Amino acid sequence: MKTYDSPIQVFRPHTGRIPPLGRYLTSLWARRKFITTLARTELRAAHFNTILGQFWTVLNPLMLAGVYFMLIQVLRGGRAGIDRFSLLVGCVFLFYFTRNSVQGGAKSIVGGSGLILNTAFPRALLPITAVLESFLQLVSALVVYAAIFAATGGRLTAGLALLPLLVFIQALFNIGAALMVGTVGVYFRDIISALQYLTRIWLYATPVIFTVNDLSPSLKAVLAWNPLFHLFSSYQAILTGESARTQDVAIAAVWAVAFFVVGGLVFISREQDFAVRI
Amino acid sequence: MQYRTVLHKRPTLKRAVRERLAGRRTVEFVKALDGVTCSVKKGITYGIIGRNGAGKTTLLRAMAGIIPPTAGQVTVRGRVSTLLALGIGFNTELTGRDNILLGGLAAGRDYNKLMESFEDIVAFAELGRFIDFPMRSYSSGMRGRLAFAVAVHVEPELLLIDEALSSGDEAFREKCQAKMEELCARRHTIVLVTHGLKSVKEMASECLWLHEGKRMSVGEPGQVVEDYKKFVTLKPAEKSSLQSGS
Repeated sequence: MKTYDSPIQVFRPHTGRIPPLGRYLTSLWARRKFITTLARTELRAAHFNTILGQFWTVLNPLMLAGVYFMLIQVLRGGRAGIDRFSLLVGCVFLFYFTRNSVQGGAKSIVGGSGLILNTAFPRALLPITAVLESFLQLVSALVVYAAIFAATGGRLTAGLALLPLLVFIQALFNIGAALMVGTVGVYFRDIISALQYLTRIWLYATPVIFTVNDLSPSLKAVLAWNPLFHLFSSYQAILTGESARTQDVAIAAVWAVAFFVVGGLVFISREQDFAVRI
Repeated sequence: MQYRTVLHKRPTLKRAVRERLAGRRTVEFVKALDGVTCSVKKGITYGIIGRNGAGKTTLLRAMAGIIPPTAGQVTVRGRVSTLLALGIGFNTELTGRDNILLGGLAAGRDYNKLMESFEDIVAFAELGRFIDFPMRSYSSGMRGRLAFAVAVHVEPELLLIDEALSSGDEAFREKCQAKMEELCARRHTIVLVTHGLKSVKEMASECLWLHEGKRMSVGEPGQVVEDYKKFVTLKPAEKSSLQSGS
């Protein structure tokens, strides 16, 4: 059976079956240095030709949050406070973690054709690298957010201790989603173009611009089917000094594990077909 | 080995719907390799020759595990390093130095061992200060030199080379040949795809000739090359009868 690092490798026709997961994950783990190195170098190269360079990783979501805050001010007749701006910035930064992971994942296989056609390696490295790249961007953004949080009078409460767990849950979800759209992107290239609109709609359906308390019960029941709904409900709770509901965290975790498992299995079962399709 | 390829470079939705309703295919299946069987012994240089589109690169990719066969199987013993025409295959915005590191890591090399041989790779590539320039500023010869330097310095047991030496200058080609001879002396195996028939006769101890995905001949390089040269001068009808008899 084929693995990427065995002394004897046997390559057979692609059947769509899942290879031995243990060996596949071992091959992935053996290349973890590649993931971290590629993520860092890709980030460095992303804004190479711009004057502001790496500042764009923070400026993009910050300016978007500013635009939405102005919109909220208009809709609320100027009654939205500065704490609402702080919450909006935090949620936009966190949503961008998923948005960038999904968009990066979608392009990762098609965009990595040069490498895929030249070297045999576990292809899951590429979408996972896209997620890590997005995570590194989030870390930079959260440093800026911490300053905004403090400047707008945000309080350090016990609920904030849940932030690393929520980010971990989101990372797990993002990996699954990136693997899934990475696979879809090989067969339907249209998805790569469509994603910028789909993620915008997804943003409007996630508690980022609005808070959960703003929703009517019927609308809340519909939006609750959004895999990110409960996660961002939890984020909003802890960022406003409250405690996240255990139910919300549990549902978010279930969605994350489901996406991770399904996305991973779909990707691994199809990856041998990628070199022929791209 | 069969490829699936779309017939239209930019298929539009309107064309796709029209052709689906008319029952016309928008994709075609191309047999890149058909019934090819070969065996490469350890410690030799194995040459593969043939015209463009013969299936040489496809065979190399199958050996590397990059593309799975559609029938049959490929068994490889040992660590593989590839040097295909695409080069290292990385982000050309990154420097040569970054691409050396990423190329080695993607192939599963240990980071510490890669760092130990890093300066040897840079020295072998002879790029000088260009090693820290973005790869988009490199010529094809420079990319080929970098890719070859990485491929041979990761100590592969099986090295697959696809026309990667054609863009280098004479001095570098001689250097590469010396390195390949050194690898063979140490019982490493090399599979070399080339249009350079002289190179095959000089370097290979066995040679395979492919034509339109089929195995035409395999054996001593001098004889296979002569058979190939005679074939390319034949008329199309004579070629067809020779192919069907092979």
